[in-house]
Amino acid sequence: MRRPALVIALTLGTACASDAVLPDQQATATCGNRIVEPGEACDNASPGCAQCLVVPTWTCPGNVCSPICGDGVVGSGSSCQGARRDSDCDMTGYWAVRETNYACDALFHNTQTTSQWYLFQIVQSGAGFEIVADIDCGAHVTGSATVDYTLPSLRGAMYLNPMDGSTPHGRRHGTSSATAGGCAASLDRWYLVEGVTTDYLPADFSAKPSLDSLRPLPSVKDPTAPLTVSDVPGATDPDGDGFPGIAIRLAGIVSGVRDAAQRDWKEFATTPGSSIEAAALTFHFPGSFDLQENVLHVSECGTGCGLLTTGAPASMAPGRVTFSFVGKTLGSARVASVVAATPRKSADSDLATCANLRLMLPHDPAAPPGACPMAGP
Amino acid sequence: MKRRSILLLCLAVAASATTAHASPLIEAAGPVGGNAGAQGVVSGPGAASTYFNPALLIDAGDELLLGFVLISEQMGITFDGRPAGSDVPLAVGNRGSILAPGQGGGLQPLPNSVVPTQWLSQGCPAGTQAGQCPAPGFTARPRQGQGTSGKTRSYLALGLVKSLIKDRFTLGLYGILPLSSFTTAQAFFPDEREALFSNSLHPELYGDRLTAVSVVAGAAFKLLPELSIGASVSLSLANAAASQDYVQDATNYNTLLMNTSVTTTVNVAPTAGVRWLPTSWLRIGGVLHSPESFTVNTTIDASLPTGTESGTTQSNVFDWMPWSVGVGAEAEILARGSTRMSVVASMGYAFWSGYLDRHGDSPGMYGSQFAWHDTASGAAGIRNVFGDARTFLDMRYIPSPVPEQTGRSNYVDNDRFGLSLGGDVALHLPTVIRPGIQLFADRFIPRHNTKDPSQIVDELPDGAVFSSGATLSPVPGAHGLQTNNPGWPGYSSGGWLWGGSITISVPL
Repeated sequence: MRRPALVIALTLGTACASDAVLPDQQATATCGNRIVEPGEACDNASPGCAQCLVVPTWTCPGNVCSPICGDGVVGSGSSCQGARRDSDCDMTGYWAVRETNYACDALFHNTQTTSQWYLFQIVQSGAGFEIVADIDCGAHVTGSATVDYTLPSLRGAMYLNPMDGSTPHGRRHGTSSATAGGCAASLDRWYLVEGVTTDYLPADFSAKPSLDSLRPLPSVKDPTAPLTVSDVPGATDPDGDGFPGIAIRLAGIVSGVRDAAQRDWKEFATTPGSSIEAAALTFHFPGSFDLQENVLHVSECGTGCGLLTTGAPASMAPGRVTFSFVGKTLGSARVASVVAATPRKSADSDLATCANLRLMLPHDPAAPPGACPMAGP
Repeated sequence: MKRRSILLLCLAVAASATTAHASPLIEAAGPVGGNAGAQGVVSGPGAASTYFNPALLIDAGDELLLGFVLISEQMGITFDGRPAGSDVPLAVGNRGSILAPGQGGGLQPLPNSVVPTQWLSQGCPAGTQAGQCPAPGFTARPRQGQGTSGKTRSYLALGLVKSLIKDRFTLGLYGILPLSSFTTAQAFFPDEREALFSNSLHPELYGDRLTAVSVVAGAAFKLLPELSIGASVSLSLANAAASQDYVQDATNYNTLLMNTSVTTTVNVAPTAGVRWLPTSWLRIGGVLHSPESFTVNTTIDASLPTGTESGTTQSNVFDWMPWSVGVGAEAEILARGSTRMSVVASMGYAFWSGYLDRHGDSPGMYGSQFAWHDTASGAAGIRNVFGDARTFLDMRYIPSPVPEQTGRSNYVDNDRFGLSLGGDVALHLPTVIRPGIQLFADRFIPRHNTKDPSQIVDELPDGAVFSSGATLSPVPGAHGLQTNNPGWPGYSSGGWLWGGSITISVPL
């Protein structure tokens, strides 16, 4: 009598199917598991390893990262422990620079965090320094929407507002001098325009005029209308898309491309009584900025198309500038890991340099508390 | 007064549904009660004939049928291991920074529907550091982590046959009601888009289709002593849902204000049948089922405080059943006293080539070679009567309408070969009752689908570049085919569909 029951049980048992996923034919790289796998240059928690790529100015043999010593950087041992600059407050050399600004957008009341990258070549004399070569590496914005230059815009914007003395506004200046606690530093106010002619810049930057006091930026009544550069006096088309203004791509809650006329200024300085660590490889100090923007054209409308026509954020919050030392000599191991070629000689090389800067100083979307306070009733 | 700056995002969501409910459940369960076996088109007149061939109701005795039905869907899916280099790299998670060659030439932003494979397998933790995602992060969707195979469901079967004009006009009522998972409708994409949802494959013709409430009412009329006709309609529920949402803060959906309403309506779909007795020992039956489906049209209207409005209407189709015809013959080959034996054969033809999947798409959209086939199925068996006892034994073969899935689509289905047996007996108690039992077991004949890389969407095309910073730098890992298609590089399926029923019939 037991056999029929056994047969039934076996039949029902084999009649219960389940799903199965066979192992991958080769394990794929998992960034963050501390194991260097195919496709990864490193995988550890060191600041010299970001997104499993070796950060320029670092080396990671055997998945152990350490700064590259030499060319203005000193440290102890073969791993360059305690790496620091060989000059306390002197800024001479190449620097990766990231300006971080915070703004509140008027509609969603979210903090928009902006990172703007530059390569600076600085020469210091006494307490003052000046920028002798620079590349504008574009910006990245996160918050309610993600904002990036389009590919042609990035190329067009790289050389729009040189700080190297090649314009009547001369070179951008700053100061860096020793104090009791380290170094005090500042970076002069600098005005920039994109998508309009330089006629919209103030004649004298040192006068520090407010943006509202300057000649109003070009504007249009209907940014959805098909306009050309010649239809908007004062506008330029640095990206060559045929529309007036510089093209910026938005994604997220609002998506599409808008061409805009932009004007802003930025200045930075250590606050009285504070200082930055002498000889530090990377440091930052606070600053402020202001921005004007008129949308001249919108295209590739996705979600929230109507919001594309909205201009600059409602209010700005204090930001900061971060300097990270690259090296002093073009061609040294440290500088070569960042600067692909002599700046401004080749757009392709400068774009590669910009990618290295972003890896050194990645965008940090976190905003400080109170950067965008909610207004009460 | 400080200015309140609260996002006022108004979403008006309206969903509506129109339907004729399908009967995939009745088809899967087969005729419940009596000795119809797998050939209700011509055999075993009873309450189930209301659906399988209403003309046979004329041969059924008046009865009240009550049954408990069990159907176990045990289709297992086995996924081939993914080859190296086919993962969408992590860098794609940096949304907006990657451009890829577009179909029309030039660089275009990578579609937002492309996500790193690692996000699917491991998720993306919330945070602001490299490799992290904005809160609350991206929940992992492991491959086949939300598979729907391996479910056993129970049902209640009800039937009624009543002759209103003796030997001339008979009414029938038949229904199968799920005892759990009452009318589930689960939509899923059959291609790489499903990676964003369950990242799993699902049996196309089972699953939620086995939860449809199905009630059939019909009648048979004897035109001539040897000829009768019948007709029935499937009665079922249709749902309409409407939702109006008011989103105060797009970054915090806990503040969502929502009003929803649901409307339920009844729909019908017809079936016609014929039964012919050319001789005293031969019965021929035929049936025509009309196509049926459960369509849900969802309309979404969104309004922004700025006056911007957008809307869309999308259609989901559930429980789609094709036009189908069936014919069969039952011949009595032995009649000796109270013992009788007959042989039965039947076949059906179903027009599956018109199939619409759960998103209302025809499989032919993936290419003509992936369009579904019409199918011809067949069954054969014997019937015995020993006094008050009846038994049946049937074999059947039901081919799958799904062609080999070498491309984007991952419709999971198998040919079925099965056996069913059962019987009942009349017990002469103070009142006559007829208990019965029916069992069936269908084997999903194993099949394997191997994908053709040239037919799969390369979600990260060769030539993809970072659009900011190192604009011209190629995206590492973009060379070759990268896809999150859950069916890549292939999968196999097989298993069983088995079940049975216990019934009791009381003559009226």
